[in-house]
Amino acid sequence: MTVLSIAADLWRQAFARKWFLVLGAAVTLFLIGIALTLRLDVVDGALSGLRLFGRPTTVEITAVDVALRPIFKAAAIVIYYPFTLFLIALCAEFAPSLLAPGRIEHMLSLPVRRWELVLGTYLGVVGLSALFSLYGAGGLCLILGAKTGVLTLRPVFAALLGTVSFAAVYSAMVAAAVLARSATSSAGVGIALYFAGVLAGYRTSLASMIRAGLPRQAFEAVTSLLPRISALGTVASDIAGGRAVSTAHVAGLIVGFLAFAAAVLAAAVWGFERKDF
Amino acid sequence: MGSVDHRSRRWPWLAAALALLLGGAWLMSRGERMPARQEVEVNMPRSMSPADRHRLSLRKRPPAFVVPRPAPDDPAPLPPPPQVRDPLLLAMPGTVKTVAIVVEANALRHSPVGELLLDCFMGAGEDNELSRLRSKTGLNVLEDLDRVAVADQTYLLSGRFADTQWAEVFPGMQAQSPSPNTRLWKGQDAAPPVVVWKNQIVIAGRSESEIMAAADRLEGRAPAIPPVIAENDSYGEVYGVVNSATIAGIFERDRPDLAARLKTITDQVKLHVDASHDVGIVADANGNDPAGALDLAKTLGGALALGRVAAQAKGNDDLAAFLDHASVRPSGSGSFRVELALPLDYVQAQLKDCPGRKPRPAGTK
Repeated sequence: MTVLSIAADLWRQAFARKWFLVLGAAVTLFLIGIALTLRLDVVDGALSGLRLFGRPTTVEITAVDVALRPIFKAAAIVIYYPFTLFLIALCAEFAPSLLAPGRIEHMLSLPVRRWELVLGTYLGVVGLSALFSLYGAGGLCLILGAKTGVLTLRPVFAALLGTVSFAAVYSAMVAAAVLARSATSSAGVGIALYFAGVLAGYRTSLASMIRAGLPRQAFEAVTSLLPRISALGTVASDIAGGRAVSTAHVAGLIVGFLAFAAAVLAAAVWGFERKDF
Repeated sequence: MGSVDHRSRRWPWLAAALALLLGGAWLMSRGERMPARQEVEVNMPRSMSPADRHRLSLRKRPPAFVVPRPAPDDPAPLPPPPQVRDPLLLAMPGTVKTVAIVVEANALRHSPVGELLLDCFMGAGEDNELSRLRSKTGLNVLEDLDRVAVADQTYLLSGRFADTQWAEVFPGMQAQSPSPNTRLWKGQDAAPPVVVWKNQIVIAGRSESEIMAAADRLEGRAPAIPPVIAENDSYGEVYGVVNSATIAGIFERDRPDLAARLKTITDQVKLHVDASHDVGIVADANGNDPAGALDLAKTLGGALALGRVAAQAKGNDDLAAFLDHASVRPSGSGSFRVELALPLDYVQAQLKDCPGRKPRPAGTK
């Protein structure tokens, strides 16, 4: 309960900030724009005409869900990559503000354990990421579902994978905040881990380009520990695009990401416990 | 003491972190070296490729019958040089009532789909009908035969038949030589007559006049007419034209409304199939009613989409995957194009339990 209270408190802080309101408004405007300007002509479950801003666009007459796959795929990629990067920058301040002088002493004077503080902050931010991803992807699914009569949740699953990816990155941002108490270093660690994770997704092909021996072994050892952000991104895009994915592979990636996040959070708690305030 | 207790409480966090990090690394590494699934990208035969053009250029020949040059003092202008043409297409009639289709038998036989079909229906052993035919007549169907064509009730084969003993192929039939390049095989009974032209093209049909007319076109004795399949349309592994009434017959029982509209709105359907890897099928329906064609295209698109949903609902994933690639593209000028694709994986799955497959002899690949 304490963890949830801390997360709820963080949500109150977030919605008081104008950047989060801007983000919410931008997603809402995008959804309203799609709802008002896109006209789809559907005959017996096949998309036979498309009008964007009143201009007819030549389309192949094909099954609606097949025709919408590129749109869902594009939405999944936008949510997974640029949106996650945007969230890293936007949420970098939360964890350092938790440890800000004055506030941390106040929090520790309450009957709250240190790990609850870390976990509450972490879950609050990851919950925000999930909320915005689900709002964007779910809204798009509902609007296109209402216009075509074909409802698919594939983009929502893809958006949730984006949240899993952000969860892994944000755990490292929390750990950085515990060590350095700086929003800049938290954001820096988040962005560095994000790009390192993108590279880690291609580690097997990249390793073959590195000289065999110690350098390659070192590269493989380091990247084996990192979340494979690009690999999960490919899975997200495949799910949104209607391609079959290996359940075992996806489950391994998701649990692996969550294990990485839990490991880094545990290290952050360990560091937090050692600090004197 | 209290400090020691506090410190000892911290280490489980670090131990858990290490264990989780290693566990996570192991989980994420699983399946990392699996080859990525390739996106199915079917090559749709929408137009003539450079390879198709090259193939056509290799086939083009001048007519066999050469008009004698006029005497040097003859004031009449020289006739234009004979036009080089694809002999098989040249032999085909100018119009058909039902269907004119050419199958690139040799290309198909060497395609992945052809290999699967051969394996399925002929088996891998040496002792099959084709090898018996080869030993008896010298005709190696798998290598000598290049193309098979059908124009209504006339059948044409092209290839290299120099080693074929035609008397063995047509037992009981007598050969005549209407021209130096042509052998006409006729039987006493109702067996259809056959023309063999330069050991390159075989023409069979119910009507002797029709097959002789085809031979005349090949020889250049008959006036040149545009063949029913234009040379520019000779691309893919299967190509041709089908009368819309013939296509409508497929839908007559289940969708009589659709069949009736097909007949009235479209004249004929041009068909192209590419089987070089996955099988791509393109059908161009031509008509002269733009509004009707658009309406028909929408109906066909809807029927394909409904078929896909029905296949998914019945758990027929193979059929649903096949219809995934189905689309209809109206042109807005009275014609529309239907595209279908058979991914090779789908064909393999369909032929997995082929009833015609014979057991392979031990030790063969």
